[in-house]
Amino acid sequence: MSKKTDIFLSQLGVSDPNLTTKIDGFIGEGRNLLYRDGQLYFYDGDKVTDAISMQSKTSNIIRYDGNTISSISNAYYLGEDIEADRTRLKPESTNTNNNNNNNNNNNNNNG
Amino acid sequence: MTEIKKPIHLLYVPTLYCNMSCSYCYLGLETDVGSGRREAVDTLKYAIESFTKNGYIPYNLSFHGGEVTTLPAKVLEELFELSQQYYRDHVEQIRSLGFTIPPLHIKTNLYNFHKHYELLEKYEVSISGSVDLPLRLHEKYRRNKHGVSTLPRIVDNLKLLASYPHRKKISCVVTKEHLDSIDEFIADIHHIHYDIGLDMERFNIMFSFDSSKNREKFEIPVEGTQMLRPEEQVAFYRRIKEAFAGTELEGAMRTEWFKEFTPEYCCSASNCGSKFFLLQGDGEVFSCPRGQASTEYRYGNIFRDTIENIIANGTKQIELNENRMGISDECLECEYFSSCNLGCPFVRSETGVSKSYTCLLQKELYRDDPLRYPPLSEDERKRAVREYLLRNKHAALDTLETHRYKKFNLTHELYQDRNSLMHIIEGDTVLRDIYLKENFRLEVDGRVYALESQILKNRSQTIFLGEDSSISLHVAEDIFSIDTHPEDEPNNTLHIMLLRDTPVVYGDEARTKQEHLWDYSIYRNAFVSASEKVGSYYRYDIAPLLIRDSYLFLDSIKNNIFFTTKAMREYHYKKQQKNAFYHIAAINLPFSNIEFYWIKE
Repeated sequence: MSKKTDIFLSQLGVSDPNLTTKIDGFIGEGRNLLYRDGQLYFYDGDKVTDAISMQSKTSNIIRYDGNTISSISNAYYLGEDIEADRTRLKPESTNTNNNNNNNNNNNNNNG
Repeated sequence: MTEIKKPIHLLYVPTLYCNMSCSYCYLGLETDVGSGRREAVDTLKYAIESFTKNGYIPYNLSFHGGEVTTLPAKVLEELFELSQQYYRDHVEQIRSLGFTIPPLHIKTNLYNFHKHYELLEKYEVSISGSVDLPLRLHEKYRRNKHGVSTLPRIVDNLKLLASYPHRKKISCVVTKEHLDSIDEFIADIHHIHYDIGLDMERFNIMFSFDSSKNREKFEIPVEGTQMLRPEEQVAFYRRIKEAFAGTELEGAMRTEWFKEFTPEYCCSASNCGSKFFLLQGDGEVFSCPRGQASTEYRYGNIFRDTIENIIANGTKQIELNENRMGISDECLECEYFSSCNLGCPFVRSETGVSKSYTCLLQKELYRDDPLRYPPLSEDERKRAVREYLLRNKHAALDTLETHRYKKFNLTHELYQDRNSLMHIIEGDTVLRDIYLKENFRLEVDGRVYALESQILKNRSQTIFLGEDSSISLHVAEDIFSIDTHPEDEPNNTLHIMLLRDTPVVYGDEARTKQEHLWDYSIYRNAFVSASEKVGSYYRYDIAPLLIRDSYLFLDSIKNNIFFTTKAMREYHYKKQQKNAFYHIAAINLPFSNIEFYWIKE
């Protein structure tokens, strides 16, 4: 298992024996790992039980269940058209007010 | 000047201490301890320097508690001075990001408002006061740390606030008992607006929610402070709507009072951590006042972590929190999905609900104002849901209809510099010669046009020709030697291609291209004998060719004429076969050309 896990981590550009041990101890029936956007999630079924921050060059989603490493493009879920649009969108562009602050004087909320 | 990376909303909590002990407070015991006073100023100064130096520009820098006004006036003044200076120094940057410069702003329980009135007035500080309505419940729930009533002083300070000359408003928290007392609630809005004289146009209503810190402090929730059920929130809204319909406050009621539940607020962001930050006097950074109560909403400490990490942690931490929670099936089908994005993640994690705790109310608000909050079309909803799940609910991704095959498969290598057309030409001595801008020139009525490859140039010219035009092609004297052995030069030809802008669909690719009218070839020796040598060029009259076939030229339709040699043309096509990047880059005719209209007399 540890060889496979090492290969999985190497795809993320990580080499960490402690992490390999942790992952090997975690992987089992119904459990898998999911890496996306700087975060490695530990899934037991559909529940996140742990997460580790790490940096990787990949913009894909990487899944690992001990037997298979799946690299999934965002376009797999979004479609090519949306994926292309997504890079042009300005995230969170409409929310400018913090709750409990009520200083609604930006974005012309209160004139 | 530092590059601006993004605007952020920064709440500053100079002290966690609060002089009150409200029964439904989600911060629980956290407000019993204050930060150092000197620290309050130094931290803000350091934070402003650090955020701006790294390209993160607070477009809104506001003060929140604890209770800001428990600080001594001297400290408050230093904080206001610092903030004012920040806005002065960054006015252009903030405006360039599309924001207006806000006034200084504090959130306060108003208990010490009278003590700092002159200071607040001097700095034109915008005031948002927290008050319970009906005031009878303020008396009951908003008492000071010693359990003593705050109401008489609050009423005096509401009167003072009414005469305060700068921006001001009050907000209230609604719980079960407030709904039970809704007639009194409505009566007190009128009382404050008409009798006390405080303009209630900018009033805000919030709903309490069950929180772990509150349970920690009170163990058993104080009777009456339980959060409203969704149907009760709607009942509350409907009663308010009914009560103020037709009054001078109706407009404000519709647009301002319930604004917290609209897409303009942080609660409705798909990831609030990408923009909203709360900084404490001790340097700790959290998501917001609610998140202050939880390590799961902590992003770092400005004295111990890099600003880049803190900013990145905002987005990452919220994604992580979101992925720890489920999503209601109802949300997946909701036509207002992107107006809500499941609401505040902190409230969901505290209450265990898997959709916005004000979902039903939000839908009612949106339906009441369809122009401002239009429902999503089916396609828009699906798209918004997919975008959201990809970031926030990985576990639900497998429920989506997926796109198994790539629509386009263009290798990213196409965009590498080494595969650019210019780079390929530079690396090939024959191509360098073929693409030389000195190869061909066209002289029309004494004016000489340098001809270049149409796929290289960023500027093109269109000329006008006619039967009276003198039209000569200037051909570089060594053109026939390019990629040609000396003994083969006589077999080389000048090759002219004439096209017309009447589109035709060609070949296996079914590309729509300009229509080919003819190709003309003349062998080197014949060409030389028909030309006049002028310097290092052969001058060749092509007017007879064009006049002979001028019947092919149509009124107001552009024509396109290309010049090359047989050897250069063959090299181009061989290169296309050998090099896919060149093939793609030179998918259109690469030869020297000029476009023209034929003017008929």
